[in-house]
Amino acid sequence: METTVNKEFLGNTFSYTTEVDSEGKALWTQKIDSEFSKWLHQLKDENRELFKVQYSLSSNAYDVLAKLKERIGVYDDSLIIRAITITFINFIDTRKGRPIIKKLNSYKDSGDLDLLKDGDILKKNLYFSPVGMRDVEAYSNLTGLKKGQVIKNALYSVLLISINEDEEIKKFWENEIIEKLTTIVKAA
Amino acid sequence: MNTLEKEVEGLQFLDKLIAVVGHGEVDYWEDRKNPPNLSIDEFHQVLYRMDEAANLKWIDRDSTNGPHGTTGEDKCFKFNCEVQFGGIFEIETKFYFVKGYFFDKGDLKGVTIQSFRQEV
Repeated sequence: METTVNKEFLGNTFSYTTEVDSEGKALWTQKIDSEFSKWLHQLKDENRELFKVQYSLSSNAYDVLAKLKERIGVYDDSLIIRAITITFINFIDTRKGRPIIKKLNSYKDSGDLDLLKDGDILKKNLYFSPVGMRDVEAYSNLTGLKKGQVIKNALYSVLLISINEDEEIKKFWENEIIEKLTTIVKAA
Repeated sequence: MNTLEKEVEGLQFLDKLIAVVGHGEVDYWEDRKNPPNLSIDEFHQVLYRMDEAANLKWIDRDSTNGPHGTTGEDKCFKFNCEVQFGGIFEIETKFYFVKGYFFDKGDLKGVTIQSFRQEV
């Protein structure tokens, strides 16, 4: 049975017509996904602020970030932090990066994280693309972290990886993450 | 044998599912009545974090709903998985249930996810 279904996203409603079964499950197809993407782009054109996420980081973390920016050759904070967030969600914190994340956990109490968190707190805003916002929103829903915390989780984790001296983590950083961050930043 | 079939040839079930979701069509039945009402975006995020399809079972398919309901494989897969999100925050392990079927029979083009929900 074809029915009009409403999907809430960022406080707005996307309406689409689709098959709904007797249990009330609605079919989401690639065609609907394309329509949803188009709708999200229009939504961003109308109200860019909906795609803004506020987050905070410490001045120490900002200093480490500055070194990373220099290494990659990017001067815009938003570009690098967006790249870090998306790389963390879609690559590092997945099955592929699991061994590194597990290893990183053993360094949580090493003092590096406390050192990174130290210093003045800087409040910042970050704007996401519609695709990026879908990833952040889904990660936020699944983990229960607020969107600002999703950025913080990604940022501090990646910065911790960047300063870690463990051979395996360093190899992952040099061979995998740097390349991904550079590709995303250059494509922007 | 089409391109997608060649790509998944010899893969274990979970790797096959990941490859088909990544490179084929996905029909996703979103449960809008029973919370937590997980979307296709959440399904993607969980899929790429699965280490194992636990209690994997193949059962006869009853439903013929959807665009591939009549052309899909006769057997449905269903399994459980646990997912651990990482990073500097402590995030508790989550458990999920997945049920679906590949389509078309004899000419792999994609997968229908009939059910994806979090289990307490």
